[in-house]
Formats: sequence, C-alpha cells, structure tokens
Amino acid sequence: MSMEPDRELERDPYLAACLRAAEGEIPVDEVDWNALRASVVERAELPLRRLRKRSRPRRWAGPVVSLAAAAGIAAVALLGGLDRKPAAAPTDATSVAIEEVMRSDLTDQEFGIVASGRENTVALLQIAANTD
Amino acid sequence: MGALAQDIEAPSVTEVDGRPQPNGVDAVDDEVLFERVRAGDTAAFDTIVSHHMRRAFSVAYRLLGQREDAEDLVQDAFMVALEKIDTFQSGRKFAPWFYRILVNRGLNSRKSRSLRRTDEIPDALASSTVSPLRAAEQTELRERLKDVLAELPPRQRAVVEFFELEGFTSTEIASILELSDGTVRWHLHQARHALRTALAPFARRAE
Repeated sequence: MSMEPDRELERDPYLAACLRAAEGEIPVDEVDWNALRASVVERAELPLRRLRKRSRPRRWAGPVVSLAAAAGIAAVALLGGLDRKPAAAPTDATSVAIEEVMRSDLTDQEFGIVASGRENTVALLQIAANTD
Repeated sequence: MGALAQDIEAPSVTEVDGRPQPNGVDAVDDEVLFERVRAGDTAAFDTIVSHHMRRAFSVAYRLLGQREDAEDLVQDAFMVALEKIDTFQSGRKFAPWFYRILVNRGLNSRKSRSLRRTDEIPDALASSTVSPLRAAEQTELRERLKDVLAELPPRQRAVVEFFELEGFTSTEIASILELSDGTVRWHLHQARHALRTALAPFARRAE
C-alpha cells in the first residue's frame, strides 16, 4: 500500500457520484438560509456583547492610568514639599529665653511646660514668679 | 466503470482546477474578520457566518443525516467558536479550527444518539425511462453502499465523505480531524477499497 504523502490525492468522480446517490443530495433547497443566519447571529448577540464589554476598558484604560499616575505624582510632590519645609530660625528673644530657662532652677514639671511651648499662661506666670 | 455510473447524477459541486469548491469560501479575510469578532463586532461575525454557513451545513448533514439536526449543529458550532474565541491563535487559519469544532461535535452527537442513516433516500435516480431491472439494481447498489458506509469507522467515513464530496484536501481533513496527513490517506485508502469492493459486482453486472 503506497500512500505517496507528497502528492495530492486525486478524487474519484465515480465513487463520489455513487456516494451521493447512496446518501442522497444535501437538502440545500429546504434550508431557509436567511433564517438560519439570522438565528445564529441572534444567538451570538449576548456573547458578542460580552466581548465588546471586555474589550471596551482597554480603550480608556490607558488615559485613566496616565491620569491616575499624574495625580499620584502631583500629590507626592505636594506632600513631600510640605514635609521638607525648613524649620524657622530661632530669633534673639527666643535664644535669650532659652538661656534663662537653662540657667533657672526649674522642676522637671515646670521645665516640661516651658519646653513644650504649650500656651498655659497661668503655669508660665507661676514659673516666672518663682524664678528670681 | 460500469453503465450504472452513467445513470448516476454528476456531482453538483462547483469545480475549480478540477477540485470541488463547494461554496467559494473566501478564506483570505476570515482571520481578519475573526480578529474583529474578538472585539464583539457583530457585522464581522455575520460575514463569517455567511461565508461558512452552507459548507458547514453540508458537512453537518453528512455527519447527522437530518436537516434539522444539521442546522442545530451549525448553530452550535458557531456558538462554541465564540465561546472558545480565546483559544484561537492569531495568524492561524480560521476554517480548519472552525470545522474541527463542528466535526467533533457532530461525531459526538452521532455517537451519543446512536444515529444511523435509516432515513429514506430520495429516489432521484429512478426515472420513468429506467427499466424495472435497472431500477432494482440501482436500489440494491444504494442499499449496499449504505451498509458499507454504516460499517466504516466514523472518522474513516468522514474522511472519504469530506474528500470525495465536500472538496476538502487531505491536509485540511488532517487538521479538522486532528490526524496526521498519512493517517488521513490511510483512512481514505481503506474506505475507498471497501466502497469499490462493494461496487465491483454491480460494475461487472453492467458490463
């Protein structure tokens, strides 16, 4: 049995005619082709809609990602800028006050009130009255 | 061969370069169209359906033997193609991939329903001019061929029908049935041998 794989096989018209006679003709005239096509396309509408939905985000995902990235960079720059603001340089008055506090004999509690910088007028006046 | 052959109608398929081209399917654009279908393009899908509907029906009918079953199979095959659209690799041919789906489902369907070609064969061959003896011989020949076809393994029968009647090449059949080209040729050889053996007594009688 030689198969000769490199050569395209020839068809046998007699055999084909006999097969066609045995099996009958394909009833192509009985098929409503427009109805069949419409039915296929109608059934396909839902899966096609899913495919459209699936492919839609891809169209606007690029710009949205770009915008989000830009917004993120801007936020980081803004917040980072605030954090990096240099501390105010001490004035002469502040320096004198610090020296006096260091020289005075304050209790730990009094020192804490002064050093915290919190506005506790009464406590500060009492400390001032006790010094000197 | 014998005189009986002259009584049998000529093939109805269109022949191009001596090879049957049943529907003039334009395979060039299918891949482009199917890429558009991936994005949900209804018009592209509609065009693909139009391209392949007739040939798909013909193949389905060969497998199932009933018009309604063949129509259902065609519809199912297109739906499954949509479901499996992600498995279709770009750059490959659409037709073998699609017909593989159709044929596999058709073979499974035939197997599960134990379908047999028991439907009436249209008596198109018997004309009023044919003698009763000749008409009886033709009926006998058809019945004999039907029996031989029914005895063939399903894939072997598909190979001979797709090749002789549907105009597929052996390479296309190999792709559709997921067989090697050599196996397809072997199946074709076996099926032809069985059919020719069945036809031989009729050819001798006609001589």
